[in-house]
Amino acid sequence: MSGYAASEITALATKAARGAGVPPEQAARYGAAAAHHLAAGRSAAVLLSALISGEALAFPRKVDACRTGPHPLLVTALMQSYLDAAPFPVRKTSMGVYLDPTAPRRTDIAARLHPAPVLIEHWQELAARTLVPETETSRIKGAGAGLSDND
Amino acid sequence: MLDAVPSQAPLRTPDTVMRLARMGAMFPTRLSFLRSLMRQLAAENAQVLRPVWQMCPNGFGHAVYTVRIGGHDYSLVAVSTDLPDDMRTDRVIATAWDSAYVLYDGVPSASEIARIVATAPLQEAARFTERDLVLSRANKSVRLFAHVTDALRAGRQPDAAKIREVGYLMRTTAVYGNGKFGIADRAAIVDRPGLTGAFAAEMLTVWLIRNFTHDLAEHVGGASLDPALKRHLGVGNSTGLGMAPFLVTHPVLLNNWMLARETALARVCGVAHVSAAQAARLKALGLRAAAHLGEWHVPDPAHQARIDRLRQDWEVARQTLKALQGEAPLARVMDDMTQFSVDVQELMAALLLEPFGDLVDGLTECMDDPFGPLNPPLADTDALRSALETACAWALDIDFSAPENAAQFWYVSAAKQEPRLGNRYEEPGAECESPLDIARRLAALYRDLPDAPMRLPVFLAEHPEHALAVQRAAMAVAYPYGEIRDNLIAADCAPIDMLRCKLSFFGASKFDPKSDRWTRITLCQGAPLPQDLADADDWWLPVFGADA
Repeated sequence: MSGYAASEITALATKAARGAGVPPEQAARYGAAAAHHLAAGRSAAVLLSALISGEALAFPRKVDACRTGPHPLLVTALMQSYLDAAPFPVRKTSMGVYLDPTAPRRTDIAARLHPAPVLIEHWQELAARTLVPETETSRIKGAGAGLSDND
Repeated sequence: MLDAVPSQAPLRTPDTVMRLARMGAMFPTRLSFLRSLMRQLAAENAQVLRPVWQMCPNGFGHAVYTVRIGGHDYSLVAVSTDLPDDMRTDRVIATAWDSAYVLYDGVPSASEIARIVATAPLQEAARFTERDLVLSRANKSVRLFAHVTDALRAGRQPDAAKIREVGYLMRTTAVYGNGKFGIADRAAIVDRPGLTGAFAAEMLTVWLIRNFTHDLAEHVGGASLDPALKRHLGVGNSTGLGMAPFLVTHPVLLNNWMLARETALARVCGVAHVSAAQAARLKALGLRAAAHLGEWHVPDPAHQARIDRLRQDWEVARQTLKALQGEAPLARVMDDMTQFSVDVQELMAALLLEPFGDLVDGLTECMDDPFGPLNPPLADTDALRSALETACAWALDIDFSAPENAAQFWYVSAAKQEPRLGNRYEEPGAECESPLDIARRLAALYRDLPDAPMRLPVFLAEHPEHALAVQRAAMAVAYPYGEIRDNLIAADCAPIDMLRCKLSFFGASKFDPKSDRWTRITLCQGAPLPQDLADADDWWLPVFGADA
């Protein structure tokens, strides 16, 4: 087993957050932060607790507040992962933290991640809540439907 | 590379361009990803090698193709399997295919080849590694594959009419990239010369698969195909809803693709005078387009009728290419096109770019999205209101309480975790709706804005459900071509239009819609063969038997 691709973790964590009831924009931000979090070797436990503690809702707001100027920010391990996933470098001043808009940076990462199976299982359980059983109607209309495939 | 920014005509507006009906009429252009990849391969004088060919006489076994681009080797490992006819289906729920493929980073060792031969046929049921860049599979067009190999065995070339009719020996049913099932993150290769563009690795895979299908048919048939026939044999593809949400979930990328195309058209329309050679070329392309339309036949009566209308109208429209004297003649041509359908307009827009590679090709460097959204944050809810009213007005007047304006919902199927579209009033699952209802979200946000200005973090603390709409409104100002300006949950939303837009950027042609939500297409038809890369760039809307 050669682990998970970072983008695979982002996709799964995003779906898990959606399954946990997090709105789509915040879920996407959680997914991006989760990949950075695991890539940095930070504790995975906070990734699950963030989905019930309200951090998954609050952290994107707090990070965005740092885009307009220095903002007091408690930089926990998970908050650092949200900052790592922002497309601007983080500057720290006596007034607080701000994201420097003059120097955009790539945030997609190439990494092989090896999260604990229990984290993956938990995310998969949450993500499954967003899935809908296929109906006969959708099956009939799907790609490849209605044709002889030996043509 | 241009030394200075060329003069250009005004851009067509997002309200004109970003409508589903027009996006569903798009044709490939010289900015399409397959075209730019072929130019890259030609510029590097790339050589395709086939170091491994272990195939039984019936064409089952494996092969490896290697090509060097930008200083890196990439290899296609192709696995051909004996698949019973009753297992052959293009449905996403399939579990076995005629052939399976991995684009490998480097030249695989014997043990790596053995690993891929064992895992690639399993597709989604297997796990892959960071050396595996793209995963794909394809089924034979049984009638054409058998016809071609039977003809070769009999010592003759296959029937040209049959090749014209089908156009491919195999069709892919999925081409996976960017981390799926454990393959490499796109970030691992995105900075490598030649693969920086969107879907470049996927397009390289498709082109190498096409070469494999040619070799396989020649191997089974025991003789060589006429190069002209080979050149017209591309790769088929069945594409469904799985591809549609991408355009909604990647607004910056969509903006950059569409803006590059519109800028290209504006630059060409800004050309003050065309030379005699350019005029002759445009006229010849108009004739080629007519011939291509003449070869475009689909079984669906409604779509065939649309092609027939386009064919008739094109005969009138292309006459404008015969009078290109005077100032800004190409702007005049596009002005003349407004009397015709969007099908004619988009065909002409694609055609006009062809002779102007010097003005156009550099724009491919602007078609990636290295950073994600960089739009400045909005100050408060008053600024948000202004953004909504100026850049999202298209969404604000839709009455979502009317059943027809919310008749459909997007969801992800439990069976294969693939996007689907359901009827909200007849099918279960709307509570798990995927957030592709951008228009409805923008309208709901607008309704909930407070009268007095409020800082956005405060507003979003009260209304976290609006965060996506807030982000899209802010982006709409900075990325005006990033949003499809139609209601994607309306009863009359046809996802096929989204598919055609995206596939045209890939370079697809011969769209063959099978319903309003899936289509067959052909990729690489007319594209250079490996030995023809020096003649890489003139295969827009290829016509059978003509010099591509």
